[in-house]
Amino acid sequence: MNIWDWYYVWEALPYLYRGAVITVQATLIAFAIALVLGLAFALIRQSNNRLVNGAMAETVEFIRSTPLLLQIFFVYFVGPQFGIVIPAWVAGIGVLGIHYAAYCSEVYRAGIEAVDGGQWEASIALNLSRSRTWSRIILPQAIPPIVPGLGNYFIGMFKDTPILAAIAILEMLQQAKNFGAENYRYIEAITMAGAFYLVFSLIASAIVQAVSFWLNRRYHLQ
Amino acid sequence: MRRAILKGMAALGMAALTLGSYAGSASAQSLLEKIKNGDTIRIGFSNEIPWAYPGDNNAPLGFVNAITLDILEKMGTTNVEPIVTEWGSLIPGLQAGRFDIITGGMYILPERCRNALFTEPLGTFADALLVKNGNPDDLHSFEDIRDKNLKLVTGAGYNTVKNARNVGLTDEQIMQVAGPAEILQAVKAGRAAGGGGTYFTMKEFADKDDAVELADPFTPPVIDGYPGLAFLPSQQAEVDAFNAALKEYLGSDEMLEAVKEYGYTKTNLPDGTTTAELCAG
Repeated sequence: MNIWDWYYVWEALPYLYRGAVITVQATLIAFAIALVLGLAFALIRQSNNRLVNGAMAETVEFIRSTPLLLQIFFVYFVGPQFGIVIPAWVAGIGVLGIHYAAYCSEVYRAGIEAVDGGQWEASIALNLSRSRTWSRIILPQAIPPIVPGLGNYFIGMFKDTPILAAIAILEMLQQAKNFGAENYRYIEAITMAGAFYLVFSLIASAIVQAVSFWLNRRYHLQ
Repeated sequence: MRRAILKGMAALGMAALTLGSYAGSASAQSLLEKIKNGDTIRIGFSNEIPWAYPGDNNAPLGFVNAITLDILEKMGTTNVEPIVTEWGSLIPGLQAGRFDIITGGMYILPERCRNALFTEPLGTFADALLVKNGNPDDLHSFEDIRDKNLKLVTGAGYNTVKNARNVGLTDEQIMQVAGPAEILQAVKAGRAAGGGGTYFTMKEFADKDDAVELADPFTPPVIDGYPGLAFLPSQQAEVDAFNAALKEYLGSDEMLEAVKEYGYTKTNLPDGTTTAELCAG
């Protein structure tokens, strides 16, 4: 038995390709959800209303502190028993996005709280409206420095997509495992899946760096 | 001072070398010799009640494990180290040397024979179909699922996947999940119309959970599955020794007593089909 057999490499390619498409799609859509929802979470947490920001803080804490696999399992397999039927794709990407939104919201919060208090005072002094203060003064200073932090979660999420296999979404790693299970050859398929994760992660981190650089220049922060 | 340190390091290096060579000689011993010497044998299985599953402290339960332990004892060792892993990782684990024998109760199939060496069959079994109580979709075979365009859930790496494909189910209709727990939950939640798996595993769920039952009558896609113990392809001597011991043991009162609690009965005894025939397909 050869350790590495090129025959299986070509055989496994179509499987991995199908899986890779799902993996990339899931990551991009879920991360878009995480970015938007995370910002919303962070803004709600800045509310002056104790009740509102307290509830938001607890929600974020709850989402962050329970395993992603469990959340996905619950939504997909337990939900229907209470009449909540969500298709696998929506449930998987939705939960992935919401889970990471909780992480991202904390990154946003760090950025927001790092903006100098004088900026708020200046905004009040200039009689800027609250929404204008946020969109023109605070966020443009808060977000560029935290892009590398958000990028971390982007790459992390990419490598968390195999959890979707629990609800029968055949992403790349599961495709590789299925290929292995059918042919009893795992080394080629798993290695190729690993190589793809590496390549995609490197590309993603390059993109994150470029975005970070561009944003910092755009807002004259550095 | 510096010289002393160097000396110390050289001594350590020598010690490591000698230790390494000891370890080398230990692993050069064949599995058969290890069994005869009473060494610890690592058995790999997943959580498939009642075939092979872990009890408290990973204790090896299930009838395939019970048979294996009895045979190993006859051959010379009572020391086993159970290693529990998911079903799909059993063959890779064997190949990677994580354990010595697969005792998960794997059916002997041609594709599997190419990557592992099987003993003679330990018994004969068929697939069963788990459905919601009352069998709302009126399913009695995999063909029914195909014709009604419903979904079948089964485990990734189960041979049920292949059986279902042979019947003509599309990949869209076959939902592959990680293990028995997900199969049960998918059926209960209505994510799939039926759950496919081995008779015992499915019956266990039907008995324990009021929300599900076995489709009855049910025509299995293939008449029988024949599980064997799996070894590395290079271990023909071990397999021969096991086969010799199994010949005496299978069907004996001692064996039937050992497997009774897991629901294995006389009807499950091997029907004379040989591993060579099964591997040829």
